[in-house]
Amino acid sequence: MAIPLKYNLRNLVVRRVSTLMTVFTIALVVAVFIAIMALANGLNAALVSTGTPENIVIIRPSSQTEVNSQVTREAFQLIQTLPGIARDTQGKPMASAEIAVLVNLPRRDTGEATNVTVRGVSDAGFAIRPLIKLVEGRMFRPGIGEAIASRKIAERFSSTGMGEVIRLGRRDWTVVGLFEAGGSAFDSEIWTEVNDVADAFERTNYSSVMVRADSVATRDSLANRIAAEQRLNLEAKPETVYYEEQTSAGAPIRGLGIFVAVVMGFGACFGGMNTMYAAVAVRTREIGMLRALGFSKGSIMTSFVIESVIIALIGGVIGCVLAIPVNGIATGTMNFRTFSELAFSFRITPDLMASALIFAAVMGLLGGLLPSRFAARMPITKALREL
Amino acid sequence: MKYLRLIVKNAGRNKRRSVLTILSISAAIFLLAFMQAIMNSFSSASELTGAELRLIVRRNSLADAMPESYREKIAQVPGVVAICPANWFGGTYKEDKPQYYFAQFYVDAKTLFDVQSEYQISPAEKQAFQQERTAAIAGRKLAAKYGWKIGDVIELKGTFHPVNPQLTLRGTYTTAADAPEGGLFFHREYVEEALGRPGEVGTFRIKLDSPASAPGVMDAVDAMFKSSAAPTKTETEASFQASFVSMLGNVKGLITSVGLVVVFTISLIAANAMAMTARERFTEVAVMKALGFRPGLVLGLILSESVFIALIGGVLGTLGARLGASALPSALRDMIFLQNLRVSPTVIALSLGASILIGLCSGGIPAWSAARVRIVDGLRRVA
Repeated sequence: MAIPLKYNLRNLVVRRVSTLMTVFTIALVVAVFIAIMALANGLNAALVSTGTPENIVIIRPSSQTEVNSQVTREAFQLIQTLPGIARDTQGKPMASAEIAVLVNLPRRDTGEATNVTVRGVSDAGFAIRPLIKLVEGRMFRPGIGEAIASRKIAERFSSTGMGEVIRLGRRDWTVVGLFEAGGSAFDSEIWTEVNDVADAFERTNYSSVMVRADSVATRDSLANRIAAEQRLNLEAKPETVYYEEQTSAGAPIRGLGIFVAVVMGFGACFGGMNTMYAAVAVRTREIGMLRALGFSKGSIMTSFVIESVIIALIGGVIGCVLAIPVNGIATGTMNFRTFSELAFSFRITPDLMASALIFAAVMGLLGGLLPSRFAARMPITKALREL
Repeated sequence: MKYLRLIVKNAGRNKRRSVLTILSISAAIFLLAFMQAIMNSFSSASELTGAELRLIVRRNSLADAMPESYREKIAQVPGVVAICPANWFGGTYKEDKPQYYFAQFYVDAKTLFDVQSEYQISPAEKQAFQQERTAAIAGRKLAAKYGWKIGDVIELKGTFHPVNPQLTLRGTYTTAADAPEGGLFFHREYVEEALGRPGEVGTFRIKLDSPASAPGVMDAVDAMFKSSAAPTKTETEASFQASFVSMLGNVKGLITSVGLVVVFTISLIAANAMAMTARERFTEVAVMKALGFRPGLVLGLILSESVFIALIGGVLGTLGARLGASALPSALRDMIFLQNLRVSPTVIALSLGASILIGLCSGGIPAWSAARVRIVDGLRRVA
C-alpha cells in the first residue's frame, strides 16, 4: 500500500527552510543549464532557419563556404542558361551572383574587432530570398557606395547604423537602410551591390551563385545538373543543407552547457542527499511507526523518493521561470565555419524546458535514492525506540 | 591551534553529511578551476617564448592578402631582423571533422626558423625540409597525434585555395615542453606555383632586434602602406591571437557569470548542511558557553569547521580539475583554443581561495546564530 502523497507535501512545509534551500539550489542549476542551452539553441536556429527550400548555393568544390569560394563570371553566364531555374515576372532567370567578403569591424560596446560578412548581391538576390525585409530607410542604389545593414549588426557594430558612413575595402559606404532576415544567418550581414563589392575589394570573380529552382521537387535534379556540368566544375547544394552543415558551430557551446550542467548537477545531488538524509533522520520515529502500521519497505522507499523528486521538480519549475528573461537576448559569436560573426538570440523552446525538468527530476531521483533506501531498511524496533 | 583537534573531530561527527558536503563543494570547485583553465588557455598564446620579439603584419580583413612586394619594403624598416611570409592554408586532412583540424601554414622555408627562433629542429631535418619543394615539418606533438613519421606523405585538400598539396614529412620541431601541439608548415613556393603565382601573402611574421622597437616598427610599417590599395595592420603576436578570441564574443562574460552562479549555488548547499549541523549542536553550544567559552570563540570554531570542510572539497576539486585537464579526451582537446588547457598554480590558488570563501559564507549565519545562543534556552531544549 502506498503512503499518501499528502504526507510528503506536509513534510516539505514543516521543514520549509531546508526544503527552500534545496529547491533554490536546484533552481539555479536548472537555470544555468537552460541559459547555456538556449545559447546553443539560438545559434542552431539561426543557421537552420536560413535558406529557402527552392534555393541552391553554387560554390567551388571543397571550398565549404562562400567566403573561401570563387566562381568565374563566365560560369555565372553559363549557369543562367541552364534549364530548371525559376524565372521572374520579366522572364529573367532567378540567379544571383554574389561576393561574400569578411571585414574586421569593432563592436560598439567593447571596441574589439570581429569579422563581419559583407555580401554583394545581384538584383535577383532579393527575389530569391523573400525572408529579407527592409525595415528602415530604403534600398541601396548601385554604383554610388550605398549599403544596407541588418538591424542586429547595426545595433552591435560601430558605424553600421542608419545614415552612418563606413569604410569597407577601398571606399566609403553610406548605410541607407536596415533589414531584418527573420533570425537567419543573413541577420549578421551587410548587403550591397555585387559589382560595387567587386570593385571595392578588387575581386574579379564572384564567390558564389545562388539560384532558385522551379520548385522544391526539381531542386535536387537542378543541383545535380549543375554539379555534373563539366564546363563549370562547381559544387551545388540546397541552401538549407549548406547552412545546416554550419550548425556544428554550436557544438562547443552545447558541450560546455552539458558539461557545466552535469558537474553542477552532481554537486546539487550531493546537496539534495544531505537534505534528504536529514529529513529521514528527523523522522526516524515516524518511519518506525509507519512500518509498525504495516506499510512495506517498498512503500517507505517510494514515498521518500517521491518527496525528493517533488523538491527537485519545484526547483526545476522555478529554474525555468528564472531563465525565461534570457530568452530573446541578442548576442553573437564567431561561426567557426566561416570565421565571421553570427548574430543570434538566446532561444528557450518548450523542448528545452521539458529536458530541464527531466534533468531536475533525475537530480531528485539520484539525490533521494540512497537516503530513501536508508529509511526503508531501518529496523522497526530501533526506529521506534529512537527519541 | 589547540582547538584544531576539536574542529577536526566535530567535522567528522556526521561523516556522511561532511562527505556529501565535501563532494558537492569539490564539484563546484572542479568546475570553477576548469572554467578558469579554459579562460587561461584562450590567452596563453601570449606566453609563447619569443612572442615578445615577434610582430604580425596583416590586412585589416583577414580574408584579404598583401602583395609579395611588401616583403622587401618591410625588411628595410629599422629594427626588423627577419621577415617570413606565412599564409593560413586551412585545408582538410582526411575528413572535415574536428579531430582532424590543425594549423597549416605555407611559408617561406628559408626564413621560417629565423623568425620562429624558438623552434628546435635538428640541422639535418631542417636542411631536408628547406631543400625539397614538397617537404613539410610538423610540431612533434602534432606528428605523434596523427602517427606521422619522417617520410610519410600527408595529403591536404584545399578549402581556401583550389590546391590539394601532397606533402612529405621531413622533420619535426619542438618548443617548450608544455606548449601546444604546433602546426604543419610547408613551402610557399609549392602552393604559389600551383595557384599560378598570385603573389599573395596573408601575414608577414617579423622578428625584431629588441622588444623595445615594437611600437616604432608597428607604426612605420602601417604608415608605409596606409594609402595603398592594401593597407596593413601590424600588431604583436599576442594581440593577433587575442583578436581571434575576442571574435568568440562575450565568452568571458558567459564563463564568469556561470562561475559566479556555481559558487553561489554551492555556497547555498554547504550553508544548508552547516545550518543542519549547527541546529543539532544547539544544546552543546550552550554547554560550551556555560563552561566559559566566549561567543567569539564559538563563532570561530563553527566557522573554522565549515572552512575546513570547504577546503577539503576545494583541494579535491582542484586536484580533479588538474587531473581532468591533463586527461582530457583528445577529441575535446581538438576544439579550437583548448589545446593549451592546463590548471596553473594561479588557478589552483584562486580555486582554493574560492573554497575558503564558500566555507566562510556557508558557515557565517549558523556560526553567528550559535554565538548568540542564550545559555538558558540552549540548556532548556530537549534534543
